Amino acid sequence: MKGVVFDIQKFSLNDGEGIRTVVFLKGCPLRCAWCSNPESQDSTLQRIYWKKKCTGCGACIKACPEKKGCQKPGYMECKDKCQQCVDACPAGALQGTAKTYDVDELVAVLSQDKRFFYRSGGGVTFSGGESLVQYAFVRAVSLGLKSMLIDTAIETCGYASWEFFWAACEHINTILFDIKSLDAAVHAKYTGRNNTIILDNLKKLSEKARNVVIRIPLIKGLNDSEEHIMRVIELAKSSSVKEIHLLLYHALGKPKYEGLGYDFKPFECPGDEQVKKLTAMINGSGLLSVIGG
Amino acid sequence: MNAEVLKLLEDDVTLRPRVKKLREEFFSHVPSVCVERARIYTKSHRESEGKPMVVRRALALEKILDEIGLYILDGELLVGALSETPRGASVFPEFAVNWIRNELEGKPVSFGDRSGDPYTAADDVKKELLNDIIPYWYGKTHEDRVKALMPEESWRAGMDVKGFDDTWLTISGDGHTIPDYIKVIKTGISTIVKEVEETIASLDLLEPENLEKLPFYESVLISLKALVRYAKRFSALAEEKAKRENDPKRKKELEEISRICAKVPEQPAETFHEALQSLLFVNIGIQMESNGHSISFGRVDQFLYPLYRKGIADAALTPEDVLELLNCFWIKLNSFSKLRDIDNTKFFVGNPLFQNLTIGGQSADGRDAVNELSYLCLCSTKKLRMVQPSLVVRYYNGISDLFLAECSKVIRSGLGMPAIFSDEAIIPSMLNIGYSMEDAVDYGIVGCVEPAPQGKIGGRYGAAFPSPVKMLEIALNGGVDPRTGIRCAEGKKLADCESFEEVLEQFKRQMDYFLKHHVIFDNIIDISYRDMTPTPLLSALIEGCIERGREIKEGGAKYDFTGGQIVGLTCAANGLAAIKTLVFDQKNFTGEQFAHALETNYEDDTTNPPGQEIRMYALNRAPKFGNNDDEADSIASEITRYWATEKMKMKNTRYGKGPIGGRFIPSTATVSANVPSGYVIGATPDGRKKGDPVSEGISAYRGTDRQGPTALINSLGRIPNTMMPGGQLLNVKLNPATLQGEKGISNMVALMRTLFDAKGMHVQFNVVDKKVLEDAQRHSEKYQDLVIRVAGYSAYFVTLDKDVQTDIMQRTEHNFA
Repeated sequence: MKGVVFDIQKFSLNDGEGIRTVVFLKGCPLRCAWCSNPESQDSTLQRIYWKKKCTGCGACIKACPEKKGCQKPGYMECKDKCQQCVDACPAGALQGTAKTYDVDELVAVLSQDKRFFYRSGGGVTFSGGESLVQYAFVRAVSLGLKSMLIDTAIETCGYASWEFFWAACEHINTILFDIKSLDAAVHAKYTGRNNTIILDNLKKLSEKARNVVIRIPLIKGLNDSEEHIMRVIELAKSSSVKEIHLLLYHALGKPKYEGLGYDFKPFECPGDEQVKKLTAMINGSGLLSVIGG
Repeated sequence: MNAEVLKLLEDDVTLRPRVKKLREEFFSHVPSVCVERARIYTKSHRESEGKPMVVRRALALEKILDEIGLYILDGELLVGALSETPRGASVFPEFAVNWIRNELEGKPVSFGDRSGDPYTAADDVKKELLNDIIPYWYGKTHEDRVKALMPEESWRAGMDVKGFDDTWLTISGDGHTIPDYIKVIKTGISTIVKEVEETIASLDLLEPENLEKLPFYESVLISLKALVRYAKRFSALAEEKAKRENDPKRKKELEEISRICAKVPEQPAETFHEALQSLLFVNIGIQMESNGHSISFGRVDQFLYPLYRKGIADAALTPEDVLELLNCFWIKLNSFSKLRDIDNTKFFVGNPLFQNLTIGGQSADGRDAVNELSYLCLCSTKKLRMVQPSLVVRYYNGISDLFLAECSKVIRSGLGMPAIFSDEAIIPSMLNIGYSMEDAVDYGIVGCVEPAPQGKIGGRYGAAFPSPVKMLEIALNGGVDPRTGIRCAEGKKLADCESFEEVLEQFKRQMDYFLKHHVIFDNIIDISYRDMTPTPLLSALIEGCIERGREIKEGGAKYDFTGGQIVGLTCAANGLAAIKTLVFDQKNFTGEQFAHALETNYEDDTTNPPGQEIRMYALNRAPKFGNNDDEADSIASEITRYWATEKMKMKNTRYGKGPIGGRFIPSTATVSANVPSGYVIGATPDGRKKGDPVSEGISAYRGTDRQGPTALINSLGRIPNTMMPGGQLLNVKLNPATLQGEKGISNMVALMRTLFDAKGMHVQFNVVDKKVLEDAQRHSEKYQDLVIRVAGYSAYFVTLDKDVQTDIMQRTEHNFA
C-alpha cells in the first residue's frame, strides 16, 4: 500500500502535545476558500513554480519529455505528470507537491525523531489535505507507530463515512476535529460540502474513548461571531470535548496559490478584541481555549 | 528547593540599588589601553638580567603587585583589578611588541579606530609605550623566540598558507585552566608557602636534578608572598577610605573590606564573602602573570556551598545578600579586559575573557549536585545581563526538570547563557584519555567548551585553529595552495581522481600534513613559553608542580594536554559530500568541470553547465550535514574520527615527563575564527563562495540545516563526540516565538535532554529575533547592552566586527509553527 504525502514537518510545536512531526497527506474532499495549503487539495502529483528562485537555466526543459518545462508556471500544460523537471531543477524553483511512500518507509521517517517524542510527550500528527482520503494508509501507518509506542494525533475535517472515519482513527490517541461552521449554508458555500456527515461523525466519536479537541479556523465575518462560538461550545459540551482551539486566519499560503497558478482570495483575521472575547467565553464555559492549537 | 531562592529568579525582582549603580558605572567606562603593568614589568626586567627566567618573572610580578595603582569604587563590596582603571587592558610586552607598535602608529588602524573591539589609548600612554617600553623588548620577546625556533616549512604552513592559524599564541599567553582555588580557600596561601619551604628544606642538594628545582621554588615563594601583600595593600586602602567616609553604613562596609583583605588569600576563608574575595585575588594574580585568558573558576556552587550554608544557618546572610555579593563578583569580572591585536579581534570578537563558572552536574556518588547556590548563580547572570562570567551548566541524566526549566528561561531571555554541557558524553571522553573517575566527575569548563579538572591541569587547551576547508581546497588542487602557490603535501587533482575514495584519500593526506605542522608549531610555542614566560604563581596552584619541583610547561601538572580547535569541519564534510554526490554518484558534471567552477568562484558563464548552475547543484542538490541525512553525516563522522585518531597520537612537550596525557586532543571550540578563516579560502564544493565564512563548531553551515533542530541533533548524534575530549561546540539559533509560555520551556527541556541522549556534548542557544539584530546593526547606540552568543561565549553585539554580526544573523533560525 502506498500513500501520497505532500510534506513532513519536524519540530512542530502547535499540533498536539510536545515536540511532534506532522505528516501532511495529499487530497481533500473540501475546498475551503481560505485554505493555506492549496497544494494539498488535489490528490494527484503537482508542482509549484517559485519564480524568484528560477535562474532560467533551462534544465527543466532539457529534462522534459515534452520539452515544455517551466516556461509557464503551473502544472496545466504538462500531461504525463512525470515530475522529471522537478528532479532536474538545480535551483529549487520547481517543487514537487507530493511524494509517495510505502507504509514501512513512512513509519521509518516519522519515527526518526522518536527520542524527542519520548522526552517531550510528543509524537506524530496526521494532517493534510485530509487524512481520511487515505484512511487505509493512515490506519496502517498509525498501527506501525503504535507498535513503537509513539503517540499519534490526527487533524481532520471529519468528512467521510463513519466506517472510513473510524478505520483511520481507531488507533490514534488524539483527534483534532475541525469545525469550520455549524451553519449549513455557510459551510456549503465556503467549503463546497454539506456539514451533516461531519457533525454525525463528531457525535459518534464522542461515544468512543478518545481525546477529542475541536479546532476552528477563525475567519472574520464567517464563523467568528459570539453566537456561533456559543453554538460550538454547546456542541462541545454535549460530546466528550474538553478543549477548543482557535486557529487564526493567515495569508501565508498566498505565494503557493501563485506558484500553482491558482486564484487567491484573501480573507481577514478577527481583531484581537474579538479573539479575547471568544476565548473568555470558552474558558467561562468550563472548557479550555488555546490560540493556535 | 528553598522558596525564597526561587522567588529571586522571578521576573519582577530587580537588582539592589548598589548593584544597579555599579552596573551602570561599568557601561560608562570605555575600554582603554593601560601602561602601568608594562612599565613596571619592563623596569624589573632591566634590573634582573642574568637571573633564571622563572625568577625574573616572579620578581616582575612581585613588583607589579607591589606598585600597580589600586582603586575601590563607591559601593563595591569586592575589590581588585587587572589594571589601574576599570575596563582597562594591561600591556604584556614580554610576549610581543611589534603588533602593539604598529597599531599605536595606526597600522593598519589605531586602537581607537577598529571596526570591532576598539580601545582608547591616551597620548602619554602611546608615547611611553613607543619611546620607553617597546624598544627595550625588540628581539627579547616570546614572539622572537618562537620565530627563531620555528622550521621554515611549519611557519609557512601556518602563517602563509593558513592551513591552521596560531598567531594568537605566537603573541600572547595561554591561560585556559582552573587553578586550585579550593586549596587556597580551605588552607590559605600561608599553608602553601609553608609546604614549599619544607620541601626546599628537605631537598637533597647532592642530587643535581634538585638544584634545577631551586629557582622554581624560589619563584613560587616570591609570587605567593607578593599576592598576599597585594591583598594587604587593598586592606590599607579600604581602611584609609573608611576613615574619611561620612556615611556610617559605607564606613562599616569599608572596614569589613579592610578586614577581609588583611585575612585572605593568606589565611583560609571562613565566610562566603571572604571566599569570593580570595577567589578574586588569586584570579587577578594569575591573569597579571600570564596574559592568558579563561582563568576559570570551576564548580563554584559546589566548593562555596559549605560557606553559603554556614552563612545562612548563622543568619549572617540571606539568599538575597548572597545574590548581591555574586552580582558584585560578576561585575568585577566584567571589568577585566585583554588587549588583542587587530587580526585576533576577528578570531575572538567581543573581547571575551572566557572566565567560565561552572554550576550543576553530579556529585562523586552520582547524585544531583544542584543546590541553592546553583540557582543563585543562575539568578545573578539572569538579572545582570552581562557577558562575564561565562556561565556553564553541567547536565546529567539525573538533573531535575525544575533546574533545567529555570536555565531555559534564562536562555529564552536571549543571553546565550547558560551554555549546557553533558556529563554523559564529557566524562567518558575524559576517561578515554587517562583521567581518573574522581577527577573527571569533578570537571569544570574552561575556554569555550573545554572540560578540565579543577587545579590539576596547567592549560594548553587553546592551540592552533586547524582549517579543514583550506585543506580540502588544497587537496582538490593537487596539493598546492591556490592563493599563495605554495606546495603542501604531494597529491592528485580532483580532475584526476577516479573515485570518491581517492578524493577522500587526497584530503586525508593534506590533513596529515597540516596536523604535523600544527603539532610542530604548537610544541615550539610551548618550548618558548617554558623558556621565556614561565608562570610560577599558576604552577604553585596546580597539583603536581610543587611535588615535582617543575613549572607547568616543564611537566609539573598532574594532567597535561595540548588542544587545537578545528574550524569548518562540517563545511569540509559538505564539500566532500557534494563531490561524492554530484561528480561520482549522480554524475551531474565531471571533476574537471567542478574544479574549474571553484577556481572561477562559480562565476564563469561560458562553460556548460555554467558556473552559477553548478553552484545551484552544490547548494541545493547535494546533501548537507545537519539534516538527518546519512550521506553527509557519515562523511562528517568519518573525517572527525580520522582527525581525532591521528591527533591523539601526537605528543606534546611534556610527554613522558610526569603528567598523565602529554598528548594533543582535538576540539571544535572555534570562537569566531570561522569568519577570518574563510577570508583566505576560495570557493568550495558545498556552494560556499570565495571569502565567505566557514562553519563554526560542529554546527551546521549557516542556512543549510533546513529540517529543524531535531534533525540537526540527530545528525550530531552520528559524530563520534566522545573522541573530542577538547570539547564540542554546537550553536542552535531559535526564534523566541518558538519558546513561548510553559509549553515552550518544557519543549526546550525535552530538546536538550534528547540532544544529550544522542551523546551531544554541549549546546548553546541564541534566542534573539533577527529583526532586533538588524535594528541593532543600524542603531548601535540603542543596544549598548544587547548580549548575543558568539561561540562558546557571549558578547555585546554592538562591539562585534560587522562581518561577525552578519554571520551570526545568517545562522539558520529554527522557527516552526
